[in-house]
Amino acid sequence: MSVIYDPVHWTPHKKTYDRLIAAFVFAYLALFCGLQLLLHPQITAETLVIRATGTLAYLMLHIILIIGPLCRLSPRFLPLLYNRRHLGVSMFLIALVHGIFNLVQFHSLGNVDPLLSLFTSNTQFGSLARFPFQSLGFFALVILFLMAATSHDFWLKNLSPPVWKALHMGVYAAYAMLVMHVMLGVVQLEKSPVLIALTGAGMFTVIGIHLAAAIRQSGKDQGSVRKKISGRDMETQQQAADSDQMFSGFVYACEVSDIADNRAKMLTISGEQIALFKYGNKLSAVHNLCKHQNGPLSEGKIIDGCITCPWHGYQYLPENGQSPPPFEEKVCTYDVRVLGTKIYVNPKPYPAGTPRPAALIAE
Amino acid sequence: MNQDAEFYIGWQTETPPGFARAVRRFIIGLCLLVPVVAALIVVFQSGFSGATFEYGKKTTLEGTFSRSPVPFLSIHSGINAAGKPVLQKILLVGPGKFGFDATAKYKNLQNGALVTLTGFLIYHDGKTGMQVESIENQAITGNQQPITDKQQPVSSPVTLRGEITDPKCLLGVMKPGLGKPHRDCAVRCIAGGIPPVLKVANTAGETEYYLLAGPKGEPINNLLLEYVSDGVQLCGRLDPEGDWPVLYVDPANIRRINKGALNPGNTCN
Ligand code: FES
Repeated sequence: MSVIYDPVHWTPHKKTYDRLIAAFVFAYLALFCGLQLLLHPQITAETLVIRATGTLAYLMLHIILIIGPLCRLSPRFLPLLYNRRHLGVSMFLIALVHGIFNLVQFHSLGNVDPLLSLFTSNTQFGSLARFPFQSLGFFALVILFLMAATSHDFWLKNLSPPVWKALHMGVYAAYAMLVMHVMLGVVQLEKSPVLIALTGAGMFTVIGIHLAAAIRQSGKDQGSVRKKISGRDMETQQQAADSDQMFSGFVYACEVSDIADNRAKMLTISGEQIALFKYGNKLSAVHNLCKHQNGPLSEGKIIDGCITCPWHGYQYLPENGQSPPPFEEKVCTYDVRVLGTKIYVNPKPYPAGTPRPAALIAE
Repeated sequence: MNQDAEFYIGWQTETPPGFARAVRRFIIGLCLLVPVVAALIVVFQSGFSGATFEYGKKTTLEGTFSRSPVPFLSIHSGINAAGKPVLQKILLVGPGKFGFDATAKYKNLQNGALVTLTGFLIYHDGKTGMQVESIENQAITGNQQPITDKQQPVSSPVTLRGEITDPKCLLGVMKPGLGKPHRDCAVRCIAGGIPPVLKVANTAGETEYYLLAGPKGEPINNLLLEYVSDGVQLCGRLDPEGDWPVLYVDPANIRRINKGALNPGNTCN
C-alpha cells in the first residue's frame, strides 16, 4: 500500500525474490546456450539468442500463470503471488529481446520497413498451416508490454481496479496467441513429438490448475450460500419472540463458534459476497472483494485491529470498511445481528466506507 | 472452521514457516524441472546445417560476370581428371536482403565482363555464393579471356517437388534458412532481388538446389512470393550444367503440394 509514487516498494523479500529471478534467468540462459553450443555448434548467434530468450520467456509465462490458481488451491503459495510482478516484468523484457532479434533477423535490411514487412510478408490468414505466426507473437508482446507498463499500483489506482484488472486479464489472450505462435512457428518446423508434447504439457498444466482452482472456488462459494428466510421462518427456528421488524431482511449466517477469532467466514447471499469477521467479542461484515485486486478478504485476518487482505496486505477497519489514514480505499459494509449463538447478516450493502456498529457477542 | 493459524503479509519481514516451506518446495521443483525442459528442447531440435557465411572475412575472386538468368561469377577452379579446366559458378547477391542488381553501380556491368570481386563467401553442400562488397572491371588481356557459357535450357521438361527459399540464407546466412519460421525472411530476400531457389530432396536423402527463372530466363521473384516455404511442384526445362542448375519455369503452372512429397520423375504432368 502506498500513497505516493514509488517505483518499487522494496521489502527484504522483494530483494530476495529479485535475486532469485536474476539467478534463474542467468542459469537458464547459460544452460540453454551451453547445451546448444555443445550439441549444435553450427547454430548462429542470432538463432541462439532467439531460441534462448523465446523458450525462457515462454517458460516464465507458464510459471506466472500457475501462481494465481496455485494460491487459490493453497494460500501457502501467497509469497509467490506477492512477488509475481517482477517476474512478469522480467518475462516481458526477455520476450522483448526475442521480439527485437526476430524483427531484425527476419525483417530488417530489406526492401520495406521491418514492421511493414512483419505484416505484409505473409498474409495467408486463411490457412492454419501457413498462418503468419509472427504477427501473433507481436500482438502478444503488445499485451505483455501494456501489462508490464501498467503493473505499478500507481496505474492500478489511476486506471481504476476494474479497468486495470480487465487489462491484466489480457495475459490469457497473450498466452493463447503465444501457444499458437509456438505451434504454428517453430514446432511446425521441428516436428519433433517431444517438442509438441512439451508445448501440450505446458498448456494442460496451465488449464488444469486453473480448472482445479475454479472447482475448489465454486465448492467454497456453494458452501457460503445463504438463503433469505422470512421473519416467520425465523421465529419458528429461533423459537423466540423477536420482532419481524428487527430481523427484517436479515439472513441466518452461521454459529458464532463457526468463525475463528480474528478470522472470517465467506457468505454469498443474493449474489452478494460478504466477509463476516469475528474479533474479540465483535462481529462485522464487509464486502468480500479487496479494492486492490479483488483479493478475498474473507481469507484475510484481523491484524492490528484491521482486516488484512491475504493477497498483498491492504487493510480496512472492520467497523467502517475504510483503509486507515492516509490510505483511501473503502469497501461496502453490512449490518450484523447476533441472537444467542446465531449470527444474522443483512445482505443490503451500505455505500463503501459507511460506519456500521459491530454486533456484540454476549459473554 | 479449519482455518490456518499462519498468515502471510508481503510487507512484513517474517514469512510464516509453512509458507516459506511451500515456496521453497516450489522453487526446488522448478530448479529440477526447468533444466530437464531446456535439455529436451535442445536435444530434440532437428539441428543446423554446416552452411557457412564468412561475414567479416573478405575474399577476392577474379572471373567472368554473367547477369542472366541470375548474376554469377564464373571462375576457374582447377583441372579435372581429364585435364580439362573446371568451372565454378559463384552466385552473386547484394548486402542485406537484396539481390546483386539492387546496388545501382552494378546495374551497368556488362555481361561477359572480366571482373575482380571482393565480398563475403557463403557456401553449403557444394554451392557457393558471395555477398559482393566491391567490384573492379578488368581489362581483357590475351591470356585471360572471358569464360563463355551457354545460358539456354537444354533438357526436356522435368517436374520437381521441393521448397522455395532464398539461396543467401540457405547457404548459411541464417540457420535454419528455410521452413515456416524463415518464411518472412525468404519473402523479403526474394522480393529484394535475390534469385529464388528450389530445394529438392530425393529418397536417398540427397539434396539438390535449383535456381528458378522464367521460361526465357527472366526473373520471376514476385510471382513466387506466395509459395515461399510451402511444398510446391514445378515443371520446367532444366539447365543442369555446372554447380548451380537452373530450372526455367512458368509460374502459372506451379502447384502447392504436401511438403515431403516424393519427386515424380522427369516428366511434366
Ligand atoms: S488484492 Fe491486493 S491487497 Fe487485496
